[in-house]
Amino acid sequence: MYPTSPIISAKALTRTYSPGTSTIIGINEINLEVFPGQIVVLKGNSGSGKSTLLSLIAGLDHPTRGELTVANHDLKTATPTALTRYRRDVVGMVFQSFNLLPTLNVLENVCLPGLLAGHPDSRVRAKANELLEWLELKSRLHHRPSELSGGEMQRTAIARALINDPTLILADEPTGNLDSCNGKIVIDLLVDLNRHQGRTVIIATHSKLADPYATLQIYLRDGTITKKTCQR
Amino acid sequence: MPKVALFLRLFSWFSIRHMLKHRGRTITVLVGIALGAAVFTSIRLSIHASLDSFSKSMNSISGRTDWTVVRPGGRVSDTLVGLLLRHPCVRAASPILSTYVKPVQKEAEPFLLVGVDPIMDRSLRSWQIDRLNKEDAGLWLDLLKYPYTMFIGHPLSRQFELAAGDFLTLEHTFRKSDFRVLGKLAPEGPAIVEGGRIAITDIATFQEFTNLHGLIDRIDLRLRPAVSENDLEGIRRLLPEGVFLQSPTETRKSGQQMIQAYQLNLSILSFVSLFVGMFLVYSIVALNAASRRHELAILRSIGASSHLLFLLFLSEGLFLGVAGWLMAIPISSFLVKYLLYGVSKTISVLFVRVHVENLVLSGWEILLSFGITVFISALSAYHPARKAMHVDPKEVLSISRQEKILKKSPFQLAVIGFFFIFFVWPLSRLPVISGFPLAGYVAIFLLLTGFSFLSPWGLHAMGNFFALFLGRLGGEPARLAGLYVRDSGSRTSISVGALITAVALYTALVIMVHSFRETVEIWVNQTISGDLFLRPKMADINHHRDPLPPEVIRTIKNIKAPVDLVPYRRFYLNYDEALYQFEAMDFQNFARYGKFFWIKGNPSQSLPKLIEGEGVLVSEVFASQTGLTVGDFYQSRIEGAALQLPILGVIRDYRTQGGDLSIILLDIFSRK
Repeated sequence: MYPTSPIISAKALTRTYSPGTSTIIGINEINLEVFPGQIVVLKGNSGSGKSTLLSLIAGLDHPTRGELTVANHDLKTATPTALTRYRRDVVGMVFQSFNLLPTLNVLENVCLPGLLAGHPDSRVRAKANELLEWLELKSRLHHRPSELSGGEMQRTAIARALINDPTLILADEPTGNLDSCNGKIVIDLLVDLNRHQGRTVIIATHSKLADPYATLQIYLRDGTITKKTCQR
Repeated sequence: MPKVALFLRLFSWFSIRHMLKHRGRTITVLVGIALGAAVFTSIRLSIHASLDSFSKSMNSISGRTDWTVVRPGGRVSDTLVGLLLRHPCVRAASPILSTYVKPVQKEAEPFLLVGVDPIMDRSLRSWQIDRLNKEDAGLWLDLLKYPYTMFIGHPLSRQFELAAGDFLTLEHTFRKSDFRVLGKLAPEGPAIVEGGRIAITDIATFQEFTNLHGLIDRIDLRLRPAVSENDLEGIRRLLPEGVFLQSPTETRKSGQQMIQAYQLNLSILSFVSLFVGMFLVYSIVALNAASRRHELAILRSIGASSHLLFLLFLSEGLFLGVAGWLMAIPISSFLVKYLLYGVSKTISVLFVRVHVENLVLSGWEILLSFGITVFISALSAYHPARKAMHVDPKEVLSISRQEKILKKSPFQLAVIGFFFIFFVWPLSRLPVISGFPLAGYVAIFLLLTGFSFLSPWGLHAMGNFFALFLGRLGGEPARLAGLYVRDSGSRTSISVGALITAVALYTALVIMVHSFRETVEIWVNQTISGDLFLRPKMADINHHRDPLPPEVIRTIKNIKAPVDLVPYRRFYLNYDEALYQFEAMDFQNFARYGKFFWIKGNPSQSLPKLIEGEGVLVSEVFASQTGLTVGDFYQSRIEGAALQLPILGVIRDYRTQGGDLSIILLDIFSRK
C-alpha cells in the first residue's frame, strides 16, 4: 500500500490561455492525488491536456485557478525563484525531443543540473559517471548529442533527470521519437527507477508500452479527466 | 567563488563553444569592434600626444617663471628689464624674443629661434649644452661675444647635418643672415620644446636680425618667496600703460582649452565608429538569444535561474568587447602612426602650434578606450540579454519556437518621440557651459531617440498602406509581403539601423563637403577679391606679429596706377582665457570688394559707423563665447591703445587659424 499523504495533490486545477481575445482551456477543474511510488500514465489525444498538466506539475507553468501541491511545494503561489529551485531539486524531466544542449557533451549535459544545484563538482561527476555506466553510455561520455542515436540521447536525458536525485520523474512522450526497441528500453528504465528506487514516475504518452506497469492511468479529454484506472 | 567558477564553466560550455561553432559570424563582429575601438583609441592617443607635447613645451619654456610682462598685440621696451630688476620683490628677470625662422639654403620647415640673455635667463630656465670637455663650458660666453651665433637642438643638427662651426643662413621678414653654430643643446628642459627643433641666440643678435631694436616679446619674472598682492601691485605700478603682468599658465590654459575642445569633438565623431561595433554586438547577441531560445528553455527547465541567463548573454557582449578591444591594439598601433602626424598638423594649423615627435602612451586614455568599448558592448547586449532572461521554461515542451511577442502601442511610442523632438530646438539654443556644449549633445540625443520612438508608428502606418496598395496591385501574395514589412520591424530594425547609420554618415559627409565648398565661397566673398595679396614672410606661423617692412609700404603707396589698397593688421589677443584674433582694416575699400554675412545688427545703419571707426563687428563664435552682442561694448588694449567701442554687428566668420575667436575692428588703425 502507498503512504497516506499524496506527493501530488491537485484541486480544481485549471489552466487557461488567452491569446488575443479568445480563451483556450488547457485543463479544467482537475482533481488529482498521486502517492509516492506510483507510476502514473497520462493518456489522451493531442490537445487533451496531458502536457499542460505535466508542465504544471513540473513547475514550468503556473495554474490559472485551483490548488496544486507537489512534495509539499505550493506551486500556485510559488515565486519564480522558488519554482526554479523546485525544478532543480524536486523533479527530473524527460522529454520527447530529448532536449539535450547541443554544445555540451554527454557528461556535461548530465552534470549541469547538479552543478546548477550547487553540488560539489567531484560529487556531481562521480554520480554522473555512475548513472551513465548504469545506462550503458560510458563509452559516449565525451560525445556531443549530435553524435548519439535517439536511444542514447534519451538515456542521456534520463541520466540528467536523475542527477539531483529527484523524488518525482516526469516524462513527456518519452518514446515519441524512438523506435519500438529503444522505446521499450526507456520504459523499462523508468519502471526500474520506480520499482527499485521507489521514485514516483508520471508518463504522458500515446504509446501503450507503459500501460502494463501503470499503477494509475488517467484519461484526459478537452482538459478534463474522463477516466481513472487504478491497478495494483 | 564556486558560483563564479560555475558561471565561467557554463559560459565556456554554452557561449564560447557556440561562438566557436559560428566562427565567421564571431570574427566579423570582433573585427567590427576592433576597428571601431582602434579608430577611437588612435584618435584619443594622437590628440593626447599633441596636448602633452603642448603642455610640456609650455612648461619647459616657462621654466621657473612666476609672472610674465606682456603688451597685448605688441612688444615691450627692453628698458623695463632694469626697472623691474630694481624692485625688491623681483629675484630675476629675463627678456625674451622668439620667432619662427626658415633656413634659406635648405628645403625645410621653419623652426623656433629664441633670443635670450644667456646670463639673465639662467635663473629662469636651465638651458644645457652638450659638452664634450671642460673648455666647452665657456661656449655660453661666445654667444655674448660673437654676434650671429647660436646653439641648436639635436633634431636640427641631424636634419641640417650641422656641427659646431658650421653656418646656416636664416631668413626672417626683414633679412637673411648667416648664423654660426656654437654647439648643440642637450635634449632637456626648454630644448625639448617643438620636439627639439629650436635654436637660441643672444637677444641682441635677435633684435638686430629681426629689426626689433629696443623691443622684446616679453619679460619673464621670478619673484622672491611670499610675495603679496600688494607687492604685485607695486610691480604693476612700474609698468607703463598697456603693459600687463600675466600668469604664464594663462597662455597654456587657453591653448589647452582649444586642443581639448578639438579632442572632444573628434572623440565624439570617432565614437560613431564604435556605434558600428555596437550594432554588430547587438545583432549577434540578439540573434543568439533568438535562435537559442529552445536551449534557454532547457536551461530554465533544469534549474538555471533567469538571472543566470541574463548574465550569460550580457557576458557575451562583454567578452566580445574585451576581445575586440584586444584585437584593436595592433590595429591602433598601425593607425596611430598616421593619425599622429595628421592630428598634430591639424591642431597646428587650426589652433596652436604643436610638434609631436613621439607617441605618449597615456594609461588613462587606454583605460578610457577599454572602458568605453567594453561598456558599449555590454550595453548592446543588455536588451537581448533581458529578452533571454524572459524565456518561458514552458517552451521546453514545444518542439517549434514560440516567441511571445509583447506588443506595445506604436502610437504611445510616437507620442514619446514627439515629446523628445519638441525639446530639441530650445535645447540646441542654450549656451555652452564651461566650454562644453552639453545642451547641444543632449539635443542631438533627443533628436535620435525621438525619431527612434517614432519609427514603429511610421513603420506600422507605412506597412498598412503598403499592404493595401500592394494587395490591390498584385493580389494576396503582394498584400502579405506588405504586411511582412509592418510585422518584421523588431527583426529588421537592427539591420535597418545599421543601414541608416551608414547612409547618415554618407549624407553627413556629402553635406560637410558641400558646406565646405559653400564656406570657401563665402570666405572668398568676405575676403577682398584682390589681385595681389602682400604679407610678411611666415606671417601665419609668427601670428602676424611683424608688419610689412616700411620700404615695402612706401613702394606700395607710390604706385601710380589706379589701385585700391586695403591695409590690414591682425593681432592675436586673449579675452579672459580664450584666444581670439583682432583684425583692423580699411573698411571703406574693403566694402567695395567684400561682404559679411550678418547674423545680428543692421548693416545699412552700421556700415557708415564702421567706416568712421565708431564700432566693431564680432564673430558669432566670439559673441557666444564671451556673451557680448550688439549694443555691448568691446574693450581691449592693443599696442598700448585703449579701445572701448560699441559692437555694431555679429557676423559669421569661418576662420579658426590661430584662435577660436575672431573680431573685426574696422578702420581704426588706418586712421590713427
